[in-house]
Amino acid sequence: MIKFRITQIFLFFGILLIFANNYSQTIINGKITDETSQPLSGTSITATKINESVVNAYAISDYYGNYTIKIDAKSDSVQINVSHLGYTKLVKKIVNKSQTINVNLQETEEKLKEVFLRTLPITKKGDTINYLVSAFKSQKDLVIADVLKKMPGIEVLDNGTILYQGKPIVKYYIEGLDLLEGKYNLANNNLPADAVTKVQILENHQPIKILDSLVYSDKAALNIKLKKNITLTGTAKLGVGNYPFLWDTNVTPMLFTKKQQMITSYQTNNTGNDLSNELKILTIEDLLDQAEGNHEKKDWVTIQQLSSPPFATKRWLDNNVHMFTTNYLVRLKKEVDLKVNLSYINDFQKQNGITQTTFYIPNDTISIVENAKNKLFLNSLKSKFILTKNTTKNYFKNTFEANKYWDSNSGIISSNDEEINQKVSNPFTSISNRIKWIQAFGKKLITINSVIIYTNTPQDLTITPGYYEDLLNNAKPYDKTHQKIHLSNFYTNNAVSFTKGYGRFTFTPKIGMKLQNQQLDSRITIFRNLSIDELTGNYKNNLSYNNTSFYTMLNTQYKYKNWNFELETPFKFQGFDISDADLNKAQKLNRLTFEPRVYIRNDINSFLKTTFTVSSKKDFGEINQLYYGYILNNYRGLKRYETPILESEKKNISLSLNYRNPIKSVFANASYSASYESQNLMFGNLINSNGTATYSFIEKDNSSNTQNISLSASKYFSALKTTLTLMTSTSLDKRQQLLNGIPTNSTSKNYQINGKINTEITAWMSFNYKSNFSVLNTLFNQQSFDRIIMQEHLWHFSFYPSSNQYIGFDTEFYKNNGSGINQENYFLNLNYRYTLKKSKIDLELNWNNILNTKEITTVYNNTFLYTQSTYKLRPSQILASIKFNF
Amino acid sequence: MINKLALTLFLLSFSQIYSQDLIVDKASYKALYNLTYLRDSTNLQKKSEEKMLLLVGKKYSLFQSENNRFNDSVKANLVNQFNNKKIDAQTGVNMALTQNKYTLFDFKIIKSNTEHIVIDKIFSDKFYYKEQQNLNWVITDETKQINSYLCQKATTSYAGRSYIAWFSNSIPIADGPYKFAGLPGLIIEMYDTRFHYHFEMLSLEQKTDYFSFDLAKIQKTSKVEFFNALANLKKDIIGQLEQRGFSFDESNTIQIKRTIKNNRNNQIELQID
Repeated sequence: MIKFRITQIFLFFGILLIFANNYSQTIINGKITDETSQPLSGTSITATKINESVVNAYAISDYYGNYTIKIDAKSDSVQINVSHLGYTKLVKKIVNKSQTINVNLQETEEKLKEVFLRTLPITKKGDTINYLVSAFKSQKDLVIADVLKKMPGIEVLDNGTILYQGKPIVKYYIEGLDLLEGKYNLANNNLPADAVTKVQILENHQPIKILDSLVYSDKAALNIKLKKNITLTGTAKLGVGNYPFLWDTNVTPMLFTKKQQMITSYQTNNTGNDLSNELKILTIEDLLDQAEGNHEKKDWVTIQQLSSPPFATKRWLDNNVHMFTTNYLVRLKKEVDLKVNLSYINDFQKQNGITQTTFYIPNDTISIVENAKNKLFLNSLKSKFILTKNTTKNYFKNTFEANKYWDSNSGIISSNDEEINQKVSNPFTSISNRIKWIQAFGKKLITINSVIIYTNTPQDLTITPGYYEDLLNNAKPYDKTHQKIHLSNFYTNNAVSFTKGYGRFTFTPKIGMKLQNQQLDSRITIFRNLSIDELTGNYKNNLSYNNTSFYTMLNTQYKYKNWNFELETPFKFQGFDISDADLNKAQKLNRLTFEPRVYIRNDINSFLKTTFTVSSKKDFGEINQLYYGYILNNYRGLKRYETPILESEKKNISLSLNYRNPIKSVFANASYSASYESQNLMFGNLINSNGTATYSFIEKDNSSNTQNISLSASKYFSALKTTLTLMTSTSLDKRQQLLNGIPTNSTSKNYQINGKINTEITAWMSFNYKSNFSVLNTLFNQQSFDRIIMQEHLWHFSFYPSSNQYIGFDTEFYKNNGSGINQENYFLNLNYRYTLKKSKIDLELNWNNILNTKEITTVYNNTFLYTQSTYKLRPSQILASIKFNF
Repeated sequence: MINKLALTLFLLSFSQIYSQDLIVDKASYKALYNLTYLRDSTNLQKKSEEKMLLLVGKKYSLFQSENNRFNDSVKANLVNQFNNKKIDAQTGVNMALTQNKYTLFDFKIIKSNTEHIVIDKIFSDKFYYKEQQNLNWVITDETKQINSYLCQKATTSYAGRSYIAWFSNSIPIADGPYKFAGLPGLIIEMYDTRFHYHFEMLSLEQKTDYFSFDLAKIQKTSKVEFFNALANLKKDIIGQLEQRGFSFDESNTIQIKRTIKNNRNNQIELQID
């Protein structure tokens, strides 16, 4: 009844309007029903021009299926479109006049087509998580490291290590290629963010394809996807500062194509920025590769070094460094890559300071003061050539490495009204080749590892005037001592292993052979007024050291629920053959050793984890603890070890408990470790009245033990917006040694308490406080040394006056107490950064050591000596720098 | 007297079971929107993003954050396992915690032809309120192509903001992001005129998904009451977030804290219409 009336009224007005003028409004109404004549609500009814799609008027049917459309159109006819999800669309061309159109829609099986419109900022496909760089990059971000910091789940530590979900990444790839072998700071800090389209996290990444389905990995790798197939890019930084003229410059161009990659960098500064960090290996995998048969440079002769202050390098490092590196990768064919990494560092460092050393020997105390001025010339060239084949059928990697150092040092010590000149030339060469080959034989995998290393250490030391007159020159003063050393070392280790799993057990048997041959040649030459004598007898070495070892071991792993057991059972047959033809000394030793290790982990629940380790290890003396003739290591250290081979057995136990509750923001950790070591030789020294010492071993069974307990906890207090961290540790160390021929027992106890507070005062200001309090107590034949108390307090204020400005203000306080010394040092530093938003240029101003603190004094004691060292620091300095991409 | 009360209670419970308090529907399509929004109206540089879902059912549609929906399904699954004694309570809590995904949007908007039901949380307390659908859309003949869709511009205003929506009548779903619906085609893109809230459809997929809500188990409130309660809790939000275990990169802490502090100063609904 009512409906009828409304229709009538509409009709009336409709007719009225048509007659009134050309401007018309057509009203169409009706009811939409489905096949069963049930009302269909939510149907859209649109009016368009014939065969067009732009909607002029529309209606959505109501709960009862009814609709009304009002059309303002001059055309003679209109098109009515009726559509509802799941029903066939109905199109009706009608005369443009008000009318009632009831529609019955037919159900359809036809589906809407699926559409993907835009890529997401973070997407996950299988084990790959893609981060769209454009979504995270803000205007101030220059290099990819800046953007990485903002990606959820990714963290970048101060030293550049990238963490994903709190764990270090295992590989850093650029376009799937591992150019830098873990030295990814170079790319991360210099690759402009603009060149990168995506950052991918490869979860559960197994870098070796053949192991992919066999060895589960819970580690993640990072891959950088570039925007273009061919990318030529880079960054540059230029900084200058006050007197003496300071500079800090970096130019890093890069090239990436599908088959070739190159990163080259030249960096130089004299601001205390240690560039060796740029070349540090940050991935555990690559570090472990390097650890096998360690062939790092070892110096046999040194000038008297100063102990470096225990805080940031940039406060004290007086350097003048140039670093050049180039890294090149070429894909030879599918899955076969050749890489070349070259780096050259040239650094000139100066050290100035005073060391006061007190030796506490039975019945006497000897004290010396050394005022040292040291110059270090560091020169090294490192090269690496790597060939890899990484397919699903086999894996082959050959790494050839050649490193050369041309280091030399000179030092002048003013001590007790004397001047001592020291000159050291300590070059070093190492050449190594490593092969890792994994091949599948049926369902078993066979792994072959082979390492060959050759190192050459020709070094010499000159001391003016001559020391150790008693031993070297019949107790008469003389002009100069010259110590010459030549060590050549050959090492090879070859092993084959299999991996096989049975249910919850995994067995990895391994057999191998290790060979080491070392030739040590040393000479001491005495320069007297008129004569030059090369000393013979006990003052030279012509030593040959051979170590052969055959080993077999079985690694057994067992995993069940929250338990993880690992048992290692290595048997080694070791043979030593040592002889010095000139001194007519020789010894041989054969030993069969068993060094088991048990590791147990239990995840009690997701908050609490516990681990337990017990191990036993047998060690034998290395060549640097086994030679028959004297060697002068530095102006007050003369050593020889005229004894059987050192044999030591170490038993170790450790237990740790780890609690983390993110809801209550409580994190806590407790650990205990103890070790007991017994050995056949006792270390001894003979200290002369001028501070010079001779070191040796005496045959006497002795033991040492060490215990350590540490506790730490942190909690966030939401009401105070503050995180509080507390750590405490205590350690106890007991050992025996000979001091001037008398056996002595020494005990040292160390207590440490660390605290940290991070708090936010206002939105534009935050405050951090860090403190460290430690007490060192040394007992020496039941007689106590003065205890040393060290305190360290660091305050850091950050201000953000606006979004593109940052002001940082540091205050540091160091205090040392002990033996009547009461040293206090203060530091103030200021940093200011301004970002030009449009041009992506960072301007930075650093003012370090505002108070111009000249030096710092630290005290330290160990079993029988007490050292107080004063180190000259970098003066107050201002550096202004500009940084940009190209 | 007691009989009367019992009868009332019985009738009440009866009416609750058979009233519209139980919402169950089967969705056949899933539209995924990316929401870019400004949490802090004083910092125009910093935009946040979150993915939002529109599940289109026969009678109802459901709009909520994708992460929120994920968390809900994890919880539902764990509760189910717990009820079937497959896991203990502690394990359930732990699993829920480890799988929990970060979201700033806890709301669920259940849209029907006549009204919207909004379920939202103030910390762990759940509330729902009803809201009439009375958007006044003005369609224009302006069109633009978004990928394969020809979209037409429509404007409206809601809760203190003016909006521009681009809908495509080639998709017969009269729905869209947030509380927006009622155009003769799916809204592909939508933003307010100040560009503080920007919804862009990322994908439309065929997806069978079920959703059900038992309103009888949720505290009923009005929109006004709910917004008042929320306003009272604004100040404490940062602390609560950090308490929940979100940690922030040391070097950016203050900026992040500042951002979070301001995160609720620019909500999508500036006023209650």
